[in-house]
Amino acid sequence: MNLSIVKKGLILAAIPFFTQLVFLAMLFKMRQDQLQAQELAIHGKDVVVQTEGAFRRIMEARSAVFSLALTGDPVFVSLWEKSRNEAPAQLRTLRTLLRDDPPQQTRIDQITQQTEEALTRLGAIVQSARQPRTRSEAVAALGEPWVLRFVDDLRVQVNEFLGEEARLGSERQRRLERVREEETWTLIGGAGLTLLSTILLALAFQRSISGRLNVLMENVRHLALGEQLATPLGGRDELGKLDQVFHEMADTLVEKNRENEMFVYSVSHDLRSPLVNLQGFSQELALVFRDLHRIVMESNVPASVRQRVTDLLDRDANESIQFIQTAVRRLATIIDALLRLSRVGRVVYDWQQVDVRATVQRVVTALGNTIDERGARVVVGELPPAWGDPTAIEQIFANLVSNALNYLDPARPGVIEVGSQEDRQNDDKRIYYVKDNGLGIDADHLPKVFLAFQRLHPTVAPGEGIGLPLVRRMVERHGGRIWVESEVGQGSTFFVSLPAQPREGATNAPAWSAAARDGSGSGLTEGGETNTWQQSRSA
Amino acid sequence: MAAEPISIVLAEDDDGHATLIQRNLQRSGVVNGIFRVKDGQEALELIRGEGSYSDQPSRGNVLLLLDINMPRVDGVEVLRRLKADPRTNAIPVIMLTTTDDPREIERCYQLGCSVYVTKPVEYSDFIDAINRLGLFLQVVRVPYSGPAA
Repeated sequence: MNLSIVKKGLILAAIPFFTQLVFLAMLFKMRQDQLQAQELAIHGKDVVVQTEGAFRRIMEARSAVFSLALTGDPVFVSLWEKSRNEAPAQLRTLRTLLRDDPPQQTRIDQITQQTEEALTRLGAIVQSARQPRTRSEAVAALGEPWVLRFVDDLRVQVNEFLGEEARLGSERQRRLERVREEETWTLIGGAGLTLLSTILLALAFQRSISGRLNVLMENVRHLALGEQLATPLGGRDELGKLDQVFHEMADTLVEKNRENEMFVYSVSHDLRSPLVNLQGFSQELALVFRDLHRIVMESNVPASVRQRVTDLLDRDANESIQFIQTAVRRLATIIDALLRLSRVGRVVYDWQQVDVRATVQRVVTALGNTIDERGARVVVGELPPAWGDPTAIEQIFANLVSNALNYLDPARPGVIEVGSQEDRQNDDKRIYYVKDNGLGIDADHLPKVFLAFQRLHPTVAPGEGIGLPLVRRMVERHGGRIWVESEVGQGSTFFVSLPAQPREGATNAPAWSAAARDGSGSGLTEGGETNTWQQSRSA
Repeated sequence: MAAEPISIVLAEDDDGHATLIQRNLQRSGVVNGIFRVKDGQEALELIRGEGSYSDQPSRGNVLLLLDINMPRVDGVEVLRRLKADPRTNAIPVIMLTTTDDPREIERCYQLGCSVYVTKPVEYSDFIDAINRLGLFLQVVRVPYSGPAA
């Protein structure tokens, strides 16, 4: 999906919104249907009431006529008139009630017509019944068969009409029930649809946002550890762009890092060239002075002159040369330290399971002479295996142990302990430590111990101050951490965390180490406190 | 057949280095003639008898001491060109440089250099290296394979 996160978010919000809108519309429609059905049911009842009312009025009118004819009491005239007027009125009302039902309306029209005919004829009988002399005619007229029959005919028709109305009523009732049932199913379906769309959207969100965010976070972690990044995320949304920028940044960093190391490397080499001249020609001068000294001693110059010349040569000239050569040596060791620092980042690591205990035993054996000289004791505890480069891990422990040896307190017998402990925060890491009872490090100096060219005890042991920086670089390239706890006069403990298992994404070719492995030297005390670089090379 | 002692061509842009190498080679007993050039281009011209050396015959009976970092044509390029040319591919070449980059060394050996010497800063090591070179020069005898003797 090539949508921006904002658009995806809008879709996420819009889909449930529209689902619910449709659902609401359906509910509204059903409510309407139901109301209509109810209205119709009520309407049906009205029709029945009206019909029966009208029929009753007709019967009342007929009764009034009979009573009038038999008694001649004028009260029945008013009763007749009342019923006679009300019956058609009720039928008209009924007709309007049935305006949406033409077949029933037709039936009512017939009933109305017959009623009107009958009432007209009854009206004539009423006229004769009002006069005493014609009352007997009226009584006779009432004995005619149509007077009884029209009521029966009317009743049949009314019953038919009411039967039809009852049928319509039950039909309406069924429709109402159906509408209610539909409503129930719509409610269930709507709830299901909402649930389903929520689940689908959650999945889509997981796939399109969360999953990719996780990849991005993994990439950040890989970069922090100097590992290869995962393949770029697809998509053109903000996350895709962020990941793309992140990849570019990582590439730039890797490139800068390599440039930086190449720069240090080539500058160091360029600095070596003039040093060869400085050292060489100062030595040449020394040879010249030696020859001069010999010539002066062998020649017949006055003793005072000879004395002055030899003094100048032996004292001033030699002293000058000594200073020049000391300075050159110092420069050479610094340049060499820079070269080694730059090399630590460039060598290709050979990742494998490393037997740390055997490695530390080898280191202790190799340092045997120094350990004996210092009268120290090295205790090697349980050391579980680690995942890393065997040479680098050996260099790490060699540096830490020889450091501990160098800074022992002459006032007490030195004890150095190499051990391990569980990493409580990280299951996939192991913590190793090198603990000594030496001089210790002042709290002010602690932050500086892992920085290059910082020498805390320059008088205690020689060196250029890159041992611990080298160790730090190597530990960091393993994705580990190094830290120190120390107390002056009590000793120091250096902790190193190293991976216990192969890391995901850890390849044999770390991002910026395109250089071939430098095989020079045994690696023991690489960056240690003795200047051994010339011996590691042969012509 | 009495092999003629070969002469040495020293290609080195740094005057100081060149002087130190020449002096110490002579001190270590090397009596061969030493001819110094300042860069790779000049070294090639001298050996092939071209360019500024076109008035001289080409020299096949030489040993080349080659610095890597030189202006115009660098040492590795000189080595590559010499080894690619059947007239000059038998010339022994000794790389003499401050670079101890393992990739560079590997490349020089692949191209066919005879010896690779890293110039040590420490003078005694430098002298040692030159002395070993001197010994090497005394045993090496190169059959001349150039076009005209």
